[in-house]
Amino acid sequence: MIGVMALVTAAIIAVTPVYFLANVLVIGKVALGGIQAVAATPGDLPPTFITDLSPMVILPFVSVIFRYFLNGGQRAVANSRTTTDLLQATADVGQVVSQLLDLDQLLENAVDLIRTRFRHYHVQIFLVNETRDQAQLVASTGEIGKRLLGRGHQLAVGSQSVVGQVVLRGAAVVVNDISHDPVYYSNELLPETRAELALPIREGSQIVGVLDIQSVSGNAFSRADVQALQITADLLATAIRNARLFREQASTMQENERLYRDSETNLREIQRLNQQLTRSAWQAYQLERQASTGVTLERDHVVPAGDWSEHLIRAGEEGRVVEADGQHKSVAVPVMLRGEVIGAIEVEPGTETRQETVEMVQAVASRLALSLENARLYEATLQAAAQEQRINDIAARFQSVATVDELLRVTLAELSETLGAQSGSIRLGRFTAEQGSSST
Amino acid sequence: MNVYSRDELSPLRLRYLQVVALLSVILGIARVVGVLLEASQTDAVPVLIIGFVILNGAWLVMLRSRFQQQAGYGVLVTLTAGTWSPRWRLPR
Repeated sequence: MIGVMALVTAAIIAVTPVYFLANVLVIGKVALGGIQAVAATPGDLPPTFITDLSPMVILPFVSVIFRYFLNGGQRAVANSRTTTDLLQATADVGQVVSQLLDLDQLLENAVDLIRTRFRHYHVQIFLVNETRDQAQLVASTGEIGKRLLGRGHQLAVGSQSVVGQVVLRGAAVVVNDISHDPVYYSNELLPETRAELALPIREGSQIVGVLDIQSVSGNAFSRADVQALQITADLLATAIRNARLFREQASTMQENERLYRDSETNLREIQRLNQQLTRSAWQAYQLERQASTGVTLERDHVVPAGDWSEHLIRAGEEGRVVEADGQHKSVAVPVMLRGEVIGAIEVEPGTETRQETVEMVQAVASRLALSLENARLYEATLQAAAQEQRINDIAARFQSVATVDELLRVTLAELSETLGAQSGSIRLGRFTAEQGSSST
Repeated sequence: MNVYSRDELSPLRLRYLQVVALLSVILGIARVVGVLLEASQTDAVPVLIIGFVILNGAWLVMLRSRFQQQAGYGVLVTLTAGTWSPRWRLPR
């Protein structure tokens, strides 16, 4: 009983030398007991020989079985702990990289974090270029990484390198012993590398990059390591895609802002041109009329008038409501069309309050401006139609004339009649020196 | 492999040692009682058994302290030595 307990205890707690020593002592004691029993009965085996010998078989069996299962349990626990650590490291890396939206910062932090959390010698990230023929180094750890980045390190897709093969195959490549693997491309800046693992960074079915991890220990990458780091590479792919989308979105937003500013500028220019057009059109209209364009209410009669009161002038010039509080209380409101003053209205308030008067006159002035513009355009259209009609009449006369001289005479006569011209002339051909000297 | 490393099996290992130490104490006390009831036994045997009981009791106490590893090896040494005790077997 005590012997079994001793051996089981040794199997459970003792380091290997102590375990074997305990086995020798306990089993040796049992064997010694058997030998003593045989020696006590010379010439014949004692009747309890088999019973005394059985512990010699049972005890080692119990001891080995306990030790075997204990070691198995400990390996399982160690594997479980390793897997938990790897998953924790993966989660930590994923949490950090998912929060970064700047691509350069994301890649730089990712390699440093993977190197620290997974405890490896060197970590770097390659991204496949647009033509998909080169994998370019975009992030690398330590001073060596800076040197590699500085010289624009890149590897051809499909080349005899771990990275090149990963992009070509679309699957992870593990080189646990670099001295016996033809795929391994030795980098003179990383002489301590003994094992290398390269994992594809996938965006859907396309390989957009490679996560490359190097270790100073041979056989550094177990299956659990590869699985955990592949999850990390997948998280990295998502983070890279997000960062790229964010960059594109920011670029689009900047472009939209630029377009908005341009459209605002264009709108202001259109408004300015509209204003300018309105001003010149109304100036031309008033010059063409050559008559007073205004009316005044005198003793219940509306009569034409062209004189401007002081308040009308101020309202027209300043483009705002002018209220007079003198002997004659009046309100002068500019008539504005597309931001351009085309006239002014002045009234003396009657029963309405001053505020109501202003509001009403402003509303009327606004509608008046539109109606005036419509009327002016209508007049211009009528004028253009009349002119077209006169031209058509002259042209119609041409049909009844057969000779050139007659045609010239008819044309000049019709123009004189239509335009009320006192004199006029028409010449054919081009002026020449002979014609000039002959005319003198 | 260092089987006494701190891991998820440590609580089970400690519990086992406590049970073994306690069982040893109980067995030792039973043996002392058995010896005392036998008139032919000499005085030397109860001293060894009492020492066995005291040691295992001490390991049982130590297992509650931070010296668990030392106590574990103490239990192992005591049990191994116990197998070599000439009069260890309980009376038939």
